[in-house]
Amino acid sequence: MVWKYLEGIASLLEDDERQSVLGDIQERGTTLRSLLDLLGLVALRQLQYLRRLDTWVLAAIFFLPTFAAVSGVLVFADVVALHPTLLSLPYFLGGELSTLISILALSWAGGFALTSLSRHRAVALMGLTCVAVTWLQSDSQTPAWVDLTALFVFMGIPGSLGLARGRKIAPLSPKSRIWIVALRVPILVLVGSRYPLKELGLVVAAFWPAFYAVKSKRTEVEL
Amino acid sequence: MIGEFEYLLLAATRRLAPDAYGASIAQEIEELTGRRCSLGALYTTLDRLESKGLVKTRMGDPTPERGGRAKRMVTLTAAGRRAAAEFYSAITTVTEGIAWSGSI
Repeated sequence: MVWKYLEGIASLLEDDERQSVLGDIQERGTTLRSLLDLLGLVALRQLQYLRRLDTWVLAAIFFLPTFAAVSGVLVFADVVALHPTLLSLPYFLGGELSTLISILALSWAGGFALTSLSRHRAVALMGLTCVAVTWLQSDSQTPAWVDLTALFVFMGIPGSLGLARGRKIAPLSPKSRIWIVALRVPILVLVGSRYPLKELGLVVAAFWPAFYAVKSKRTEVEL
Repeated sequence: MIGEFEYLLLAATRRLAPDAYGASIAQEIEELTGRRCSLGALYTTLDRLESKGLVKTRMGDPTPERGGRAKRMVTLTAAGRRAAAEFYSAITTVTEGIAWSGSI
């Protein structure tokens, strides 16, 4: 039982360190002291990540737009749950479809970029916090389970697929990392801008995962 | 100059060579000093020593008694030896002629 907690807490450490620390604990015997020791080490590591500039750069690049994406999903969930008649085909094709595609694409690409750029679980935790805070602060009219289902379907699933893909090919070469960040910034600026640039941003956002897929496949071969 | 805990870690690494790793170093320090050695202090100090170039670490092979998990093996570098020697020399120099036992 204690071991399960230890493994859960240790999952916040990097792979090599997790292995050596859990091995050390197993060798020395599992006690309450080892649990406290591990908690102390995890807290120290997370604080170290927060002191690094690249953690905050990643947070700014990846999680500021997450607020917008979560809001988009919640608005869509409101429309579906409270005003299903508004969801006629012309209306859907006219606006909601492109928004949903861009959210799916951005979630996948965000997950991919996150693990291919950084393995820091502190950043992933910040992402989850960001989603939770946006949801809790929203004025959503629908029951919580509807919001959570919508977030899971439109952001959780594509985001997880992107995370898994990024994890598979990490670490990327420095050149590929620069490409990813360099492409992400203008796309987010476009998506956040007004019509007609916003439409252009949505189109680019939708094709962005395709670029990733090609790029990552090539990198995987090189690795 | 290195700190006291850094010195303890370097000394334990030297004594345990070539089988110095997290758990063995912690046990050695606890047995010899009677002080508790937490994993957090141990691993963050190891990182610091490695960034100063005083030790080198590498992942060893997985072992069954550790549930198939690898050890983080630690080796003292030449710079690490010099730093430990300087610390020891400084401590013995400033302590010379001083008797700590007895009343003040």
